[in-house]
Amino acid sequence: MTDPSAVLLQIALRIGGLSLVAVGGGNALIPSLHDQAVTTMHWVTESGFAEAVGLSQAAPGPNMLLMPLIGWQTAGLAGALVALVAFLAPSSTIAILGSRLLVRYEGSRAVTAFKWALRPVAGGLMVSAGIVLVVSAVRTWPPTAAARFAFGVPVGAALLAAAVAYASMRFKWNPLVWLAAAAFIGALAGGV
Amino acid sequence: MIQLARLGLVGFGGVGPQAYHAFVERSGWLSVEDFTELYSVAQALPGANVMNLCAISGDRWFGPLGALAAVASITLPPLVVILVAASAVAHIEHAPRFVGAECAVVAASAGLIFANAYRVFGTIARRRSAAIAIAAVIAAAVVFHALSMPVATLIGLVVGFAVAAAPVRS
Repeated sequence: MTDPSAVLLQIALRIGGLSLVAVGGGNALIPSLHDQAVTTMHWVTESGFAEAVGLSQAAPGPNMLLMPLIGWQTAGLAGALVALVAFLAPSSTIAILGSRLLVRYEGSRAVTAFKWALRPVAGGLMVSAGIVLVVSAVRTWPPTAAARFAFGVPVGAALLAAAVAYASMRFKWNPLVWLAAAAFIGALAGGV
Repeated sequence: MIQLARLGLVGFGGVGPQAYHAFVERSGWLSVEDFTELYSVAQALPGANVMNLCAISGDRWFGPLGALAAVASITLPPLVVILVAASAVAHIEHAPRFVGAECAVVAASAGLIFANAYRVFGTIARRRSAAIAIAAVIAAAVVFHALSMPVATLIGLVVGFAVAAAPVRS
């Protein structure tokens, strides 16, 4: 870990590898990234990793910014940029080539069947991602409040998710409105 | 190019749950059907979903450079924000009100994702019940850790392909 360029190369290779198995979005990658960054490579400490996860979830922008954030903690700005490019380049290239194949063979029976097959997969992954998010919201709820509302927290989180789902379909407002309203409710309830 | 500049602003506003609003409702770049199709492709391939979506749409509109510009404009502005935040942030992270707000936002994001899933099913015209069955199995398998996401995706695609390619009974 003494040679900075060796560290950057490790970041590029390992995060580039994660990019290729990252099906299902950034959050699905957190356990694998933890294996690489904390357990195997000792790039960051356990608490540094947890802080980076919290920050990448709370800050605006895509959750995959966790990758450059870990790179930044490990090797400064160069680490952040290397991690960003290493994570985006392989998967974006595949996505572009894949989408071009679909356009080229547009209308063929195989492509039509493939496009049909994509939708239930996408829908199923979205539903599971939503459920995982609700569960994680319940788990990280402030412990003092959770002790008082043993059943209130899961029910509240589920109701909040349902209300936002309905509202976002009913009114075509910017979703930030619903997120801001939720943050307000959560801040009130979190301090109880 | 104006569209791409606006895409950069979208990066500040958000992530997966907000992509539908940004691409369809606000900008009108994509129809619901096109969005569903591209997002499904983006999700089934490796990589972060919205990044893939930006790469694919940027490439379709302006070629490889468009893809690069789209991905750069959605990642770089929030990257600056997050690095500044990482340097500046004290430890408000553990205050109960802050954690409560954060949890509520996470739950609300789940709501936005459920709405997106509902829209996906709305665009399936044929064999909708089969599609919903496949989706339910995938969601259950992933939630209960029976299958990892890549494996569930692969199996779902193969089964879905077989269902869609099977001849229609008259």
